[in-house]
Amino acid sequence: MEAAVTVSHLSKQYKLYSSPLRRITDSLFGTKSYQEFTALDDIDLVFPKGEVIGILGKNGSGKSTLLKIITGVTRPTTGSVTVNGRIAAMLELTAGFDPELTGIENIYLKALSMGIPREDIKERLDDIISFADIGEHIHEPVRTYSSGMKSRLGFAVSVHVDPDILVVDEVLAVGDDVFRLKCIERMKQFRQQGKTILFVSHSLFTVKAFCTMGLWLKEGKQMAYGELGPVMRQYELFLKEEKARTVKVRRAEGKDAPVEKSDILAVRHVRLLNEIGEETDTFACGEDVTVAFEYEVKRPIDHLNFGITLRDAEERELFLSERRGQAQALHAEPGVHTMRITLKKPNLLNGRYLLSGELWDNDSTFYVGFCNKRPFTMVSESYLGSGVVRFEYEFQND
Amino acid sequence: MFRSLAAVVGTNVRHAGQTFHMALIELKKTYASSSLGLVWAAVKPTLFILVYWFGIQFGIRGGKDDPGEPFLLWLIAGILPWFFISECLVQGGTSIRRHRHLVTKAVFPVATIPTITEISLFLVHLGLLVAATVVFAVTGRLTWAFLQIFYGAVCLFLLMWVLDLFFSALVVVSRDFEYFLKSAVQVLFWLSPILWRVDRIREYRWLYWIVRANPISYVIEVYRDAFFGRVCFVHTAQLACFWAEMIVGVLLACFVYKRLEGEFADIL
Repeated sequence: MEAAVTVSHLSKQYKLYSSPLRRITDSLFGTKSYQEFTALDDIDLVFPKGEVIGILGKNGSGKSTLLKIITGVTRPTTGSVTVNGRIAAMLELTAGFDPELTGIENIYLKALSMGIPREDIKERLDDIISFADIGEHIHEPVRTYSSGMKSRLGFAVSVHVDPDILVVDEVLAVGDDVFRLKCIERMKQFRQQGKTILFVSHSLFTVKAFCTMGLWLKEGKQMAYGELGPVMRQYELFLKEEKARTVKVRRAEGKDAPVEKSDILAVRHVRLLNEIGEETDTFACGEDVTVAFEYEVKRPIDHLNFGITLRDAEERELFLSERRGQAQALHAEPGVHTMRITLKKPNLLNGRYLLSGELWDNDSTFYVGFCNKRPFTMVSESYLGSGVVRFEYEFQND
Repeated sequence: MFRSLAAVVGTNVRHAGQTFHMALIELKKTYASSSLGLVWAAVKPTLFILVYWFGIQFGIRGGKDDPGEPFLLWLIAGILPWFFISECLVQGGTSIRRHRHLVTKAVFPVATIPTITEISLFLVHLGLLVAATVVFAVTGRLTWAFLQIFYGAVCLFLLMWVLDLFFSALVVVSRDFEYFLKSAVQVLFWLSPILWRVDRIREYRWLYWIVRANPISYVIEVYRDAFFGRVCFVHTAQLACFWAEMIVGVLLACFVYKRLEGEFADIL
């Protein structure tokens, strides 16, 4: 195993000064008049060549500091980092762009600031422009760009540096899905070329899809490192526990903040009833289908609305009820309420159907499903036709 | 101290090409969004010269000229380096803070940032210098002594490089130094013999020597000597004083810069 980056006993303390002038006197005379904040605490590991390492951790856990030290932007307090190969840092895609200069001029500016000679940029200019894919805008000042266009341009420049080690810090959060896919595609290419990628993202999904190894940092300490699977499991477990803890603490403190949906509204006893009120999931064709449930409102809700969706067995939507109006407002004051929704004499033919239903508040911030694709069957003894819906028809033969 | 000097100068020399290209882009950046572009670099100094000339020549002196040296020309020769100095003090002093993305988001030779700003301003200065040379040539005043202008330009560049390096590092740590620089510009303008002649204060012995020891005065005097065909190297005391200051200054600036450099990324 060849090492791309070797980190040995790395610690970083930030110096917190009450006055900036103290920092100057400290630097010049070697005195110490600051408080320390430990951002990284004795990190010791090897990033092997050709791996994609996802760095996990919450905000402030030291992820960015670690990447900054590896790229050489800032220095460790103790310990050392050895980098084996050319490193390209994508700490912020749009950093270094000047709003008044055109896209092309900014390509030169950014590439120069990354240490690429002008001649090399000229060679790669066409590649960069076609990867950024922003059309004629490339000749316009960057201030006229949308934020997505800016990141595209930034990413395009960064990946054309041709690095051995690519450091990516939460840069894919911007830009649309198409662009994100393009970026991931490009990074996969890097991986196939045997290059090393250090990857920070808050999207666990992306990390899972893309990384081969994982490093979990918590408050500057190295909690787990190795194969992605085990590290990811530990991290997810930690997140779950932590969530449970905050919920508990909040409840203990009696805080008003919404904790979980079930603390606002709970749905109970969802049943399908036939015309004579028996619970069943088999109905005769042409019979009323009723869904009945009980819901308890625990905190006042502004205008509770409902909607139902009827699908056939292949999950094609047959009917979506009206969802925009205020006419379907339910009782929303705290307490227990019952609710019955009846499909009047549905002309459904033999077969299996799925019923879904939701409740939501006025501005759709709160949203609860009371049944999700609940199956029921229509049967008839006589043959009524084939298909999904039965239409009444007449005929006239002269 | 000598190690700091070697490190800072070494960084600048190694990245000379990159620095120059960055300076060109910075120059472009400054004038990019105006349709007249670089013309503005000439308009502002011209206006200042005309205003000072009007106010002093007519307002204060009642239209009289000193023999052999029309006040307007004398003013141009002296104020030319000052335009560069004043721009450099503020823009060069804040250069690292303004380019913080290069410090915190990229792996960049930070010691070249003040140089980048200085070169871009120096290019403007050279343009103005050519214009002034044309004016002096038309009035038939240029002699071989004008070649001293190259020496003057080198002195000017070095002086501001030292000051920019020193202050740009301090401004990163505290913006107090930025405000100090902005107020110092006005003070230095009147303390330096730009609008007035050093000879006038010859009777005040101490004051006279303090003004003459001011490196800005030295550069201005060299420029005036070059434009008016006098030999500047005869002022040996001033020459020695200037270079002594430069040697001490460059060592001190590099030392302070190097001591603070490691903290830049954490502060910005």
